[in-house]
Amino acid sequence: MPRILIVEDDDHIRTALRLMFEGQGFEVDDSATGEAGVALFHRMAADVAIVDIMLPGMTGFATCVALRSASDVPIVIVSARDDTADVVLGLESGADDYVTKPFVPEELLARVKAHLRRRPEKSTNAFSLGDLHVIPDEGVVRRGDGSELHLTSTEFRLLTDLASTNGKVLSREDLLERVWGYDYFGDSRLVDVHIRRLRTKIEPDPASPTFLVTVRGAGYKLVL
Amino acid sequence: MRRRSLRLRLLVTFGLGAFILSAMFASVTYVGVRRVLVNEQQQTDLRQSYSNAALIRSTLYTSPPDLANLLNSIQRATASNVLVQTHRQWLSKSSGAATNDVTDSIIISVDKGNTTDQTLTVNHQIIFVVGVPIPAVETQVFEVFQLGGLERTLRTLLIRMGEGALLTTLIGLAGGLWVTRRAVRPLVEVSQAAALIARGELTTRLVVTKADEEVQQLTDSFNAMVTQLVERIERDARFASDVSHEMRSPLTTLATTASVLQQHRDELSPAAQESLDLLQADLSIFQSLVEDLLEMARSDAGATPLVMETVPAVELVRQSVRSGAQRNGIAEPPIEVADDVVEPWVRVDRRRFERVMTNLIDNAHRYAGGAVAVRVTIDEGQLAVNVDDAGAGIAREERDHVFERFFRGRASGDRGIARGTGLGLALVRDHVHAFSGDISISESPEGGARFQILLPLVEAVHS
Amino acid sequence: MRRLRPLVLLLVGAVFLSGCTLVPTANEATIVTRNKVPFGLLGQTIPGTNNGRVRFVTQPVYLVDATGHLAPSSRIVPSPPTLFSVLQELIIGPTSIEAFAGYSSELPNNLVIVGAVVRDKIGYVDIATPLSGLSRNRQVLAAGQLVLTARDVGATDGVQISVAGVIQDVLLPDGKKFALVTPDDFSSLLNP
Repeated sequence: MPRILIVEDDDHIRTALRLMFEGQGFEVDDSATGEAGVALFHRMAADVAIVDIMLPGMTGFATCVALRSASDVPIVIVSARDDTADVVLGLESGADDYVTKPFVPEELLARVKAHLRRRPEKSTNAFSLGDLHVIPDEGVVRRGDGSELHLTSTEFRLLTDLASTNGKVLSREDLLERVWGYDYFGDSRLVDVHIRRLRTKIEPDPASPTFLVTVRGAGYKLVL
Repeated sequence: MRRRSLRLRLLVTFGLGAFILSAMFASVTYVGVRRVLVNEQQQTDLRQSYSNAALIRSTLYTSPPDLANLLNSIQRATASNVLVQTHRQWLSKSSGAATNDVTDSIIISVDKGNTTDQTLTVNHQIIFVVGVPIPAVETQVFEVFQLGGLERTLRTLLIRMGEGALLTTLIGLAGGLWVTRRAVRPLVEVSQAAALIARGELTTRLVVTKADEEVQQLTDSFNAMVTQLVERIERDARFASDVSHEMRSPLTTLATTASVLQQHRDELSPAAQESLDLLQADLSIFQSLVEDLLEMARSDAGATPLVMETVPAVELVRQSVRSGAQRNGIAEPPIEVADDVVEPWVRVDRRRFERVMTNLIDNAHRYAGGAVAVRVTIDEGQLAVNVDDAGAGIAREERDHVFERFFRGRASGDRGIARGTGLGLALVRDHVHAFSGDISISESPEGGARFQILLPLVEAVHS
Repeated sequence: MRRLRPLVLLLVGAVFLSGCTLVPTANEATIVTRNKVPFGLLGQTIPGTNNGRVRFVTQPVYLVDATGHLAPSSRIVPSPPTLFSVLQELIIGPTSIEAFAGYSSELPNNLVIVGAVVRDKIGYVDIATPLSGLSRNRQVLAAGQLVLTARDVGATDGVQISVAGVIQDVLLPDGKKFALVTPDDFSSLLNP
């Protein structure tokens, strides 16, 4: 049974969410504050987390950062607002996705399931980026010295998707659909922020990317 | 009724006023001066006549034969002619004298013993004739003075006064021009500012530097009014936004718990199941309403900036229709692209365009049994996207009103289908206008309603 | 305002036009009040004199008419007429009216009458230049003019002409010459 962590300060919403996910066969850990949520996570590592941005005390962003530093678990942030600043901040803090209230519960459910399912395409061969060795089959990235570079599943999927095209340019829409499963009208901010996160992790100089390059007006491509 | 220009009227009044005043002044002055000059001339001439008469009397008394010489020397000295009469016969006259100058009426009057004078015109000459009876020497002396000089003086005076009046009128007009411009400028500025505000530039305010008190008052009042209005608008928008905002959390709970109930549907009785379905349906409407309200409020307050992109139109329409249909769980209507449509590009905010298509398709589904087709054509250099249905159509008189917020047309009462939020079409219109496009209703080929969006075509952007 | 405008224009026009004529003329003569006339001009006598006044009478002077005869024509002379003043009128010659009627004078226009008086019904006329310079006919006519004119001033018994004090013989119509000539001598020259 998959385990889900719900960090939401509104009692009713939290209760309703718990009921919903339990009804769908999830093990639910829920907490009303960020601190409690992080503590819960440390004790019982969940497979996916839902974090509300507006939390008392430890903010949703800080919670994300704390969770992300501990693992690669997919994090979906829930926000009452659609403001770019909030969303970007959330994504930068380590979240993989966001939904705005009021959400369609079935939709949230579907996305959570999608994030759980996310495993890189096994058909892609291993490849190298400088002194980084990417092994899609195992889902790991090894540094030259053998240590593992931690990527979230979303980041990994993004990287391998770009690699699978053999240097072809993928547009944001393409990436949204392939990695997140969104349609034409998904939010391209997701892609941009994740590309940025990827760059900080794999590029020798994130400010001047050599592997993950932007093709203006078209999208991104991976230079192998 | 022809509208009259205030400036013109002011100007005319000024000019006319200046003209009237200066004309009156000139006339009065002229008449006054003329009277004085004429009087003085007359008095001088009379005195001269008397002196000459005394001389003539003395000559007649002492040496009558010298009379002719005396008269001639008077004429040489003063350029006036003298005639002397006795017993109704001319006794003597100076060499230039003409007896015609002395009219009968003067002679008769002088005969009666009265000193008489008259100004008259003889042969286009103005003369002043003085007749003095000298009973002591039984004669009547007539002296004829030429007033040509006086005439010339008066003519010059008249011309000068006329010139002065004209100059004054021109100055008056010029002054009027300046004054009207100054006076009317505040009005013009106010109307310009008002137009700007009506267009939506709510930051417009009147700025005045060292103005008159009335203009300052107008400016202050106007600015205060605008500020109040803007505040109210913003307050209203904020209110709608705040209300929607506050509803989010409870709505989330409602939706989620309804979902949970649905998961446990099997455990419910049929009545409970039906109730749950109704609950979820209305909840969905409620959710849409809140979202629409929020979107409307934001759009009103200009809170959400558009993200305009230049995109291929056909692809845009296809994607919008597909996702719009999917979103509402309805069948995707077929898209027909006319033959003359060749790679058109438009500039829109993609999300909002998708909203537009979603709303239209949803509308067709609700009220007309579903959209028959979405037809893309080129209409007079603009892209036309037609959402056609085969329903009852929309009556001509309602066509403008359906885009109003919360408008409930006849159709909504007829069928028992779930009602929309009432904001869908209003949002559609707002968004289309934001793309510099237009939306209108006509009849579809199938006899139902055709919602037509017109968008301007733009240059393709290739990377 | 609209309705007032034509009225205002009319008023302006009227004001303007009233001043437009230059020197005003009158159809009727105006009388000057008596006490404004100085020098006692309107008095019956001349001030500064001893009740001095002048009267005029009409007096005939004899000219030559169109037929060549002597004929009288009226002149106005101060009263009482003196031989001197009347003869001055004679010397002037015909007025334009008289000339138009055919009158002329044989007396030279520049003839100077030095003196002329009537004593005991005889006129003594002293002239500057003699009449003998004229032709015979003219002399006669000229003399006739003098004598007849003088007769009507009181020289009923005749006239004596002198030139610078020197008594002249006057030519008569019948050719005789006398120093003292009477009006009857020239009666033949009159227009019958």
